[in-house]
Amino acid sequence: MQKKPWDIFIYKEKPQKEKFELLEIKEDDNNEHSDIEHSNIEHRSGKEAYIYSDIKANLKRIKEDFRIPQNADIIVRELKICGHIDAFLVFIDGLIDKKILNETLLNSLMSGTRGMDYEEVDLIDALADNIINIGIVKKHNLFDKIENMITNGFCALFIDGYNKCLLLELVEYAKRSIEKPENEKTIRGSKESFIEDLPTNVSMLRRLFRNKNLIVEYMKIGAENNIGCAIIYVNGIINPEILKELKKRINKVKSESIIGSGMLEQRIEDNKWMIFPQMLNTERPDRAVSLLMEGKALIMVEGSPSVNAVPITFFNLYHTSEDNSLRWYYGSFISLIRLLGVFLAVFLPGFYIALVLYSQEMISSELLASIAGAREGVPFPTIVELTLMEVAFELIREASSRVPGTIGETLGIVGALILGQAAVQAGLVSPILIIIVAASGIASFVIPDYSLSSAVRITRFFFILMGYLAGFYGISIGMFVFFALMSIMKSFGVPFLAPIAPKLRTSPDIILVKPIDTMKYRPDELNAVKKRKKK
Amino acid sequence: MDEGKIGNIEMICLVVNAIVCKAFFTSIAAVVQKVGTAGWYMTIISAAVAMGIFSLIHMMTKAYAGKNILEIYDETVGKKAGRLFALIFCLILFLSASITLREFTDATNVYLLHETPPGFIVGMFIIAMTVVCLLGIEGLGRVAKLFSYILLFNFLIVMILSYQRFEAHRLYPLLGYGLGNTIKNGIMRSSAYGEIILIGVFAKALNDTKDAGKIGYKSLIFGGLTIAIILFSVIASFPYFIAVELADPLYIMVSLVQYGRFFQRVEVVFIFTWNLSTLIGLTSIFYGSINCYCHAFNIKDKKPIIISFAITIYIATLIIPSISIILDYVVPNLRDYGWIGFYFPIFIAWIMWFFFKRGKQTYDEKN
Repeated sequence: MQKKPWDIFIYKEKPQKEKFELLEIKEDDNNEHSDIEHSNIEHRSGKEAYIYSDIKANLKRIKEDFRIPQNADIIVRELKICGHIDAFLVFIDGLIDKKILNETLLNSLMSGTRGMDYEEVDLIDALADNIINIGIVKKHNLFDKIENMITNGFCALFIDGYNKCLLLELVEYAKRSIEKPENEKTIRGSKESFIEDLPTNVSMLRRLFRNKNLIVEYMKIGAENNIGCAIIYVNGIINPEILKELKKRINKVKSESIIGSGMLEQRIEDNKWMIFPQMLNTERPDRAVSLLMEGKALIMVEGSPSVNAVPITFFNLYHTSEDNSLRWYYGSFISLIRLLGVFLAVFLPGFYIALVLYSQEMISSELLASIAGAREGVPFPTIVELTLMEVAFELIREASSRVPGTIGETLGIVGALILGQAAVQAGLVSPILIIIVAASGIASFVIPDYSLSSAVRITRFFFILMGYLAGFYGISIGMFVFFALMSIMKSFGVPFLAPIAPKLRTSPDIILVKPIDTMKYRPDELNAVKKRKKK
Repeated sequence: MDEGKIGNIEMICLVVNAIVCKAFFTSIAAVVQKVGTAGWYMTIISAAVAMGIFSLIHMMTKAYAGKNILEIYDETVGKKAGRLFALIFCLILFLSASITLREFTDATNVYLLHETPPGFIVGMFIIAMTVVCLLGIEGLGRVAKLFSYILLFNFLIVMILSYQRFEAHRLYPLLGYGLGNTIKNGIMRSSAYGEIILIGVFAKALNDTKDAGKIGYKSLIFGGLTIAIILFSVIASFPYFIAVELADPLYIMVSLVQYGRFFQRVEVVFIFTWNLSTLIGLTSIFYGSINCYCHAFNIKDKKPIIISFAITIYIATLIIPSISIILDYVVPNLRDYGWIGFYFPIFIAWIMWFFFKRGKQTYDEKN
């Protein structure tokens, strides 16, 4: 409806948005969950037409749909089976195992069918049951499904006179080998990380979680690029409402293409305007398994070397995969250091500017003299000096993460040392400011999650602004609003600051860790079916 | 507008902050002026009176389970008088918020931001209040609880550090200006705990309105103890003639903390306690006022009202030209006669319920 100018004076109630609330469910330790929907949800797009009995019509349609011969890597191999029946194979060059195609499939189709009495039996069934010696063989009669399977590395076999097609799994393509995690390094933890291949990633999880209750549901996402996505969860632990909501949100995604888990994450998160991440991204299979055991769901996207976990809280982002591997003394100590790091990364520059600009009387005389002496001759106001250095630090960080390997490390050191030293010598910034910026920068590196670290870095600028505007009063105002926003944030219906705000029952591993025997409960905010980890 | 739910502890944190935040400003000096060195236990008398009044709210919330005090008014005194009572609550809460905000602004101006215009200080404060009110009671309750533990810790640290300045002889004469005067002022100044009505106003945000009773008593005990500790420490720290003059005695007390050459002037710890407690307290009072207004006029969506109330409170806070008018006329009158606005509607509603409705309720339950 078109807006009229006078509409700005008239109040109209906004329609209520549907909100997802994760409600408590009855505890059930008997694993009776027949209501969980296990069926695969397929994302259909385009025309839906059944294949023809006439092989020429099928061939024409396939060539039209795949734009053959423009599309050079789509191969159509025509052949005769049983000596004289026309048939053709369609596959994508590079996505299939050519050795199996040449030595096994073509051989069995062309030689193995000779003398076969095709009039007595259903040829399609006979081929699948007796001739084709390949693990996965499927039958389909819908063009869009068949074409999707071909793009996923299947080889389609069309036979003249039959309105069904055989899909043969010959998937084999070049992929990266399993390597060490780059972003989530640990001292004692596992040294393997996910790669871009979905089946390999699933197999890594299966290897670490050998239980029939580990369910992997495949879906297709992206209306155009149709890439694979897997929802992984432990049946009997996860709250079924989380799954329903997750599937609903993924099915609602109308994007043309989804490239990687980051894009999907942004499409399905609760609130797109909040600065903090609402999903946890991990590249470590061991961490993924521990998240599954808590009652979370994993979303794995083809082509992404990491998985997303939902629902999450701030404290999931705050912890590392190693925290549970360490003895509780060490774990608690490291956790406290990390908390100090988060605090310094967010507030230190803001506190500095508030102290220097508004509350000098609170600094002891010697320290004040030292700060004043260091600032003598600096031509910029403190806010300009601080902003310049913070931006310079962010530039160095971004540059060093974009250039390759050792050069990146060198650039970071050279940038920080030489630039800082030169700036102080030139009298552009005070040495104390270098210390403040460096300390807050280093502190931000202790945050294990990249998204949380980015949020903290941006938040730091907000508190610098608040400190500049009104000193400690401004910072208090900022803290009040900031934490209020944090406390209403939700990830799939779970409050972001749970189990502290609201206070909920959990195992004692929020900040201070207690001995591993005391970790009896799953996080209460997840409302898992099994609330206790052990009897 | 989705109200959300809050837990019992979250509600206690909201109400305690709403009650206690006044103690950071001129009220302490006013109490010392009225009752002398007996101020620290006078406030306990005030808390006891407030507890008595609150028991009336408690009885009614028990009788009308699932309803807040404003809905109970509609039931007990009828819709029209109920609206009037809701508007009285709205007005008294609004006044309380704007006067305390003005006290806060002037104290901030004097001690922290010397050259900043008061309009800017008030403006920032109101923006924060508005944003948090727009998030609803859930966000407010959670942030109150999140900060309250830290605030309590800071408060205790500050009290412990100030211990070095305590002199026991300053507490004498123990009876101040006389026991009668202390009791009279204690009853009159019970409006200092008038914010306890917020429990009745926000009762529906609780998971069970029957919990309102224990939340209220706990809030009053905790709030009373905190204010008594503040008064005790101020009276013990400063001679009587200085204590009556201090506009912000706690701040001064903290600024005098000195343990060696380096560890001194720990106001920075106190500034956060002071600011955050006032932010939480005044936001809950402000939100309570909006709730009463929306109930009186049957408005479901609070968002537009929040914005207009924010503009109104900005004007109301700055309309009084000087702090001396606030200290000499506005604050004393609010403290001495505020009980009329806070307690009168409750008392009338309780009489109506107790003598006219209770019997019918019991009869209905039996049948």
